Amino acid sequence: MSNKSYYVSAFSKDIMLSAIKDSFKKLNPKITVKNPVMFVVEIGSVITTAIFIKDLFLHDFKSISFVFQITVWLWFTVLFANFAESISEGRGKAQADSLRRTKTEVTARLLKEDGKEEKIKASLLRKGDTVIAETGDTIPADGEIIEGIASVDESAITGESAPVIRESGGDRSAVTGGTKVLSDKIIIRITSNPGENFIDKMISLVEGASRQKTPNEIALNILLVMLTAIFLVVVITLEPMAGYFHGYISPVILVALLICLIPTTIGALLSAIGISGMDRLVKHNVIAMSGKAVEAAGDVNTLLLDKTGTITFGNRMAVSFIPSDGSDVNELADYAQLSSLSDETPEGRSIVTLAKQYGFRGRHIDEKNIEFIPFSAFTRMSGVNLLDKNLQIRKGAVEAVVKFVEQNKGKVSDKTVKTAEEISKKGGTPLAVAVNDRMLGIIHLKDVVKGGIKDRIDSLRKIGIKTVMITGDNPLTAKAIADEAGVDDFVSEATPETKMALIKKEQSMGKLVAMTGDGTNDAPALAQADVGVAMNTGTMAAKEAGNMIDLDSNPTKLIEIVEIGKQLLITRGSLTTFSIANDVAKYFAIIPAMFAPIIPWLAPLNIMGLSSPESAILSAVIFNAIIIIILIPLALKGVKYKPASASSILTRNLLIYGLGGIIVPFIGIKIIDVIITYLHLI
Amino acid sequence: MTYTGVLQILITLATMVIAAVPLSKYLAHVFNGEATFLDGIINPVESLTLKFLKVNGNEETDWIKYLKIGIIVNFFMLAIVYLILRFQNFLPLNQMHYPGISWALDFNTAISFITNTNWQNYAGEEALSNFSQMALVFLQFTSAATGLVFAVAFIRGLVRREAKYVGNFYADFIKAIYRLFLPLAIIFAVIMLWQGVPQTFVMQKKVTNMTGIKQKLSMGPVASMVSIENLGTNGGGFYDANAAQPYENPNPFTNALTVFMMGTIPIALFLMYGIMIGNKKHAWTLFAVAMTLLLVCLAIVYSQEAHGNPFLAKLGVNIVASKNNPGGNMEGKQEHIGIAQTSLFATATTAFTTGNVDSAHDSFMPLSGMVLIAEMMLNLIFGGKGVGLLNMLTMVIIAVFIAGLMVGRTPEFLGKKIEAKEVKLATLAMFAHAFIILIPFAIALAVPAGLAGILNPGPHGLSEILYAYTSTVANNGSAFAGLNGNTLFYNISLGLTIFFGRYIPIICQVAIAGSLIKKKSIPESAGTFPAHGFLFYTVVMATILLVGALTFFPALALGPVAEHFAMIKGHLFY
Repeated sequence: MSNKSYYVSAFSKDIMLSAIKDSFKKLNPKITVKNPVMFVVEIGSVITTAIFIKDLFLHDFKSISFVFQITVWLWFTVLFANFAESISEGRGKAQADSLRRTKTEVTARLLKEDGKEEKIKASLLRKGDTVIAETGDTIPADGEIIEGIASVDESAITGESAPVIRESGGDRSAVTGGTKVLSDKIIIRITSNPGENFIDKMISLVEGASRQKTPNEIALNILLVMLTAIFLVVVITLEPMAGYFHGYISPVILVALLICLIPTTIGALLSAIGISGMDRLVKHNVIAMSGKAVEAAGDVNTLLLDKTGTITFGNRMAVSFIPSDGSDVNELADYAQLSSLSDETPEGRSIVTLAKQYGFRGRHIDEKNIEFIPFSAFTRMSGVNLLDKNLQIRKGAVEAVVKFVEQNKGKVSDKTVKTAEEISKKGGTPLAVAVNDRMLGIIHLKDVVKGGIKDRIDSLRKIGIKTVMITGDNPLTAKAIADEAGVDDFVSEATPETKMALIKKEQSMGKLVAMTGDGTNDAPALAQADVGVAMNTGTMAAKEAGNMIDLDSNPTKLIEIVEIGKQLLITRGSLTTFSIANDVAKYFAIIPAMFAPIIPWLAPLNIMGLSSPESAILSAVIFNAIIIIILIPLALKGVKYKPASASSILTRNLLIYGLGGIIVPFIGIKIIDVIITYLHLI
Repeated sequence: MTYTGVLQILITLATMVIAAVPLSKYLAHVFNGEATFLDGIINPVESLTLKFLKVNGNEETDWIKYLKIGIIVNFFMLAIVYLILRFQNFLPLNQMHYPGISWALDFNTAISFITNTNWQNYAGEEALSNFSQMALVFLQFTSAATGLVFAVAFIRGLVRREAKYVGNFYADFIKAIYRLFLPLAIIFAVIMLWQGVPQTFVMQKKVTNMTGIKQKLSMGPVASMVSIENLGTNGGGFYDANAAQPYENPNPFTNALTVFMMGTIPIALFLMYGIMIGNKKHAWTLFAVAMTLLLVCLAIVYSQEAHGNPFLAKLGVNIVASKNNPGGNMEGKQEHIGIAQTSLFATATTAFTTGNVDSAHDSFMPLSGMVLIAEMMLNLIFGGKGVGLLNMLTMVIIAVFIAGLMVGRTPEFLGKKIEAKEVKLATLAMFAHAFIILIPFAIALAVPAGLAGILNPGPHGLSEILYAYTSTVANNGSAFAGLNGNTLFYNISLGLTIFFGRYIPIICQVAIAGSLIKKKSIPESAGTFPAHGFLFYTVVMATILLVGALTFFPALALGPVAEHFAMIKGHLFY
């Protein structure tokens, strides 16, 4: 995880205070009705409050203390649920606030058609306008660089303080409103209207304003509502049953039982779980465009991993010099370094670095006598001509260099060609180095697999996710890297079309596919994939096509995203199980208490040995309320998740939340009963 | 409990399972449209029937049409039988000149038989002509076939991918009758005939018995009814006392055979499901869940009955089993059948929702009574024709949904995603079941017309009403005989609970099939939790017990459990 400039802790004092305030605001039935389970609790609280007031006015003090305490705890139940939601929202709101601060009114330098500049407010910019930004300017809105190159500070969005290079053309041309130009001058074509900028979207996303219930959340809600309905039926039938035995159960007790039975624990925490799931992504500097995308991430069956950047560091590096045709390693290193002096590619630099190990450093070259031959796709070589010494040094694709030597009437041994072939077979890239008519040998370039990636891929396999490496390399190179990284499959010589075809093929088998991408040509595949993570460094097209954006532009993060998605679902499932399992103990607390005056011989059912019917019922209600508060941290943090097979995860969670859910309330209710009795609350 | 008793029970159950294996293969062939050894005889008859109905058996329909046709065909048959019973005095085979039965009783009876319930608020031998009895036998075939084909449609919903059509109702319905129920019914009717069950059009015979007393003997086409009544898990006997009447159940062998008839097809349907979906391990796991529940129930009933009433022991009655004394609780049981076989019969008839009885369930020990009620509340211990499997799968969907979330994926069942729609329909079926039992039960407790039917005061009376509504909603049809059901209140209210208890869950369940059939199937991976094995068994079992217990705990606590504790305390009710 990288630096987090605007990530805010959940339990800060400010958030706590505003969450408490919000908990009361949310008592408004118009808000509560969106959560049917808690709405039932609220109605129950209103009923018992009415009974309390009635008793008060009619001077019916027989059980008024009991009614009062039940009422208070029922209200607490609703408040605790509201608090859970508020606190999870609070963190998002605080994050949104800190984002908003970066969005102070900016002046834009609008470039008019006649080439003149005009200063206007950034909020007046429209799609298609052209603006100029120079050192020190804040980029006024999202756009694309159409001219120039600049280093940009994007810390306002990414939290990453190191500047990034943005330039016109290609996949690094997108700039985001609110970021700052550190050097140079760029001309930007604005690509979004006011209020639709990335930073606006981000604010509304972290704030949860555009939050919609996810498919699983909807399904779970239905289950909870139906369970509530069933328990309503159960409780309604109790009164006639008591009547059959010529008894009467007070409505307060019926309400108390109903509230204890309906799944209040999960009902109270459900939205907090969802919000904090999104939040955990933000913590990882990933912005999900919808909760649905987070959930889909948990379901992913196939991960398409770009070789470059995800599996390997992305650039091939020289790992050894293999001299041939009579040269020795020092000579080869010497000429290899000379040939790479002007080569600014990472490969070129790695050759220079490797040669330094052979003592070639601090070279002095007379610039007058040197001619640099740049790389071209046609010659597939680069190099230098040392005019004073009449030396033509070349480095490049083996065939091309062989041809060069032969043109100079030289000869190349079979051994050199064989060495090159072997390197290719192992997935490396051979570069030949020659001077005039002499072949000097081969530089072994290798794609270096990131440390730890194999373990990650193994753990993905454990949770049933297939990894497919995507690379533009030839099949040989691809296979070598694939073997080294331990991916399940690979696609070599991939084009955006093959990527798309692969996604569709996997999807047609019912699988969900996740991928990362940054280029414009990745956009269709990003849109097609079930989880498309666009890199923040990528183009606007890519960012719009994906359903998540990684602000750190770190493709490896896909793996974390999947884990967060899973953790979200696991947390929901586990707390649902816990909530339902709790009911067993509550029945054993309340039913004997309820019928103790009517059917005294049912007393053996009071297996917890609770001291009186009233204390039994009150203890159950109190337990039901405080378990919500106790579980808030778990809801926010998520249930512990370690990659493992479905069976072992399920076994673990069933034991903790299922069996635990049955046992814990027996203990909890008993303890509360002891305390209540000790304090003479009843 | 005795060794011979346990042995009788285990041998009967083992025989059923052994017979269910080949039967399940045969049934899978039948409903997959593959060749079977009976094709030579049945194919011509079947195509003739379809031709007569002007139905192209190969033309499949979507779930809505399948369901619609099924229900319309049901209602059509319901109307016919209603009229036959109502006007039996104008119809043949009524030598005793029984009048047409009252509209309320007719309403109750016709609904009861079309829905495979066979709740009987009448005494067959004293109210119905032989023609009426045979009309009911007709429904005993069709109602069993109806439940079965809806289960087949559900299975196809799981098997087929990105499809629309679940099958042709007529073709499946006729297959179920021609290829399963009719052949078996004929075989077992002959066996019953051999064992002494009457099969005649004579309605009554006057005889002088051994003690010289003149006696009327009621008879009719009994053997044919007994075979399908049990094979179709209908349960409505020819006689008021069902299998407690020796003409329906002459000896311990027919008693065991009756249990065999009830249970073999429901067990085979579980296994057929495994074959059809291509996952036998999964089906065997569900079999294990149902079998465990059956064995536990059986163990409770048998031990309770064998142990007898401790209160009687205190009064000096010898309730210990010995050579000359069966011991235990013999009230309402037949001497020649004994406690072990009676316990097996009672447990089986409520598990397989047959409803046929060979003893007075009303006289069982309180906890035995509770088990019998609980079996019908669950309604998935193999259950009735097709519906037991449907109820089990509904519960599995809920179990898989919760457990699936716990492994961190959108829950999936056999590769199909369980989403809002499936959860909605499954929980609706569950809710309907609870609602239709508990609310009418509560109403009956609250109104004088309901309380009037009770025979016994105290918690047992509550159990009697609870038993009645549970039995009707579960389409079982057996009764805690104490309750007088032939009143306007009970005829109508039980008729309605039977009706809604049958069709609402079925509609929900076939709709689930309609939703599942459209879905892609996701290949299984290490990330999906396997739908077989011990873990799956635990998850399904826990869900069944938890949902069942949470829904019905209070009612059971106040009925049988309260009665049990009262008995221990020696508390009597007058």
